[in-house]
Amino acid sequence: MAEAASSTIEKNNLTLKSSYGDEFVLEESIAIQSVTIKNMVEDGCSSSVIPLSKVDTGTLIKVIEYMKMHSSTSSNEEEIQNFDKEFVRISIKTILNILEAANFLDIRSLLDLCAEAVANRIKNKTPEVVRKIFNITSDFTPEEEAEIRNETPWAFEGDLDHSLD
Amino acid sequence: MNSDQFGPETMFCSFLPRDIVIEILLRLPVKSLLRFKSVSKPFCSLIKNPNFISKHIGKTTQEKPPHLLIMGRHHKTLEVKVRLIHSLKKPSHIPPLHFDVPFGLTSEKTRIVGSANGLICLNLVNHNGVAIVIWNPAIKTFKPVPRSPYVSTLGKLSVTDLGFGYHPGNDDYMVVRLLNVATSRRKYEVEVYTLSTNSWRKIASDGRVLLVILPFWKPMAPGMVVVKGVIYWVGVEVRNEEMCSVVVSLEMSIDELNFISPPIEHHGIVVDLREAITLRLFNLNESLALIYSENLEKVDIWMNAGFDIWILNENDVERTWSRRFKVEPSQGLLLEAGFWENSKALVAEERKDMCFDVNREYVYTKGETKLYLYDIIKGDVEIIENHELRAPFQAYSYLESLVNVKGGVNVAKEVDLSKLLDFDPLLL
Repeated sequence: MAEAASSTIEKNNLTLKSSYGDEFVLEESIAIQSVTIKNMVEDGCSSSVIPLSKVDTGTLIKVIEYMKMHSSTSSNEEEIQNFDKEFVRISIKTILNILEAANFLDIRSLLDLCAEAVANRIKNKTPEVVRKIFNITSDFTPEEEAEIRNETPWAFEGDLDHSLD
Repeated sequence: MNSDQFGPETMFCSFLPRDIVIEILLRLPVKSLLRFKSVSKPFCSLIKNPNFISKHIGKTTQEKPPHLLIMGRHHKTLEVKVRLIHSLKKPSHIPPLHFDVPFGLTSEKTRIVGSANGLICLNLVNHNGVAIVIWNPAIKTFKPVPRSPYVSTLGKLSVTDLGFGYHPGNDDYMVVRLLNVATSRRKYEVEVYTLSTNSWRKIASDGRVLLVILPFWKPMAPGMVVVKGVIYWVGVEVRNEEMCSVVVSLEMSIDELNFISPPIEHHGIVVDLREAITLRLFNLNESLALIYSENLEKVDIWMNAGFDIWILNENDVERTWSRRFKVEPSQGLLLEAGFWENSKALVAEERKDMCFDVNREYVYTKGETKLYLYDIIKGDVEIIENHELRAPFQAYSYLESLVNVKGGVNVAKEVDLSKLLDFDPLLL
């Protein structure tokens, strides 16, 4: 009896390892919200620890928090909506990290949530701030840039957001 | 370098995969995207990419409810104005946006022909004749549609109605003109303009006697409805010396007019053409909806008596109708247009003070008309406040887009239409 129970637990748990080497044990039913992990489980590669070399510890904690909430049967739609709203009240930089992890782990709903959150945060920003957030160096000459701005000068009018976050 | 549907596979950013940056940009409003064209060359070419532009429309339609575009006359100045009502969930908390209309829309005969993928087709009328423009208000660009080269062989063209729609299969926009020939027992002609070719072509007419009616006594009434790539109008057919309402349809991929009998046929000799109009058409949840009444009273639909809504059965070669909804009576309300977000119709309060224009043709009301969104299924009513418009109204779904009309003209400020448009005097 005791043996049967422990084998069930073993069978249903997966260990995810962050790029820092920290390990997290998670129920398989929760972890397979990630299509990448689901495929690994189905291919039988999940007997040992799953290394996530592209996901740091802080990001992995957030991703697991998200997956736990979204697989919970006890929370209703409103609770999940509120959770999602709170979940993205973090720095843009952190959302971008989660977005990258969601892309790698292939968790569509998390990717949508984070992409929408970043879009909302940057929509009123200036092109200069967007360059800083995405670490982009402009490859326009000043003349080329002026020309593009002149195509739609009204898109640069109004109350623009100059903050980096 | 490899390419995908969005162009060469350049990196947009040193630390994020290309796909993620595209996912973020697809969720931005048009104004932000126009501004972010100046971020870098890869950003600029992505935002101009036609596949990105279509995917951006898909994202918007999928995830955001369409806005409600209302055209009416300003309650004080009587100028034609357009209002865009954002999310209809709580319209009372969101003040209507005052849309920039770059045209001097002062003629009472100016009409919206249709709205598709952020493009609005307008029919402008002035003393020089009639002109058609396709306008994208979000990117402030419009394109004058060239004048049709066809001259009728049958005689002087008289009453006309127009259609505008998007054809997903061809990824093209088309304007349709239905023409009646006054001197030849009301035969009809059909001409189609496509944006991709920037030219007009004629399509076959079967010689039926058909009157396609622009409700001239109510110039702003919507003439056509588009459902799943098919344009529908209400026409009047003359059969056995009787005038009967008929639904006329044009599938945008097939150059042929079709005629659908309404669920209830109106019989009897009708002297006045307007009495023959017993139908109104709507798009209800991407189905063709029809309201029948024996007395539409100048095509207005009073809600005092309630009415049935019929739906055209899909995939039915016989083209039959089902009576699907019963709308309960509401005293003093008039169905103006509809439907949004599934089943919300635009309704206006009864017009107590009616005025006529100098020719005693055009009817309008005094003061701001009370406007509501009435959910015909749930029965909820929401008020639309501070729109400053008076009846009659035209209303359409609208979602902003980056769709650029080929050869379009930028209109950041008010433009002098007479310099850009070639008005067609034949169709005055």
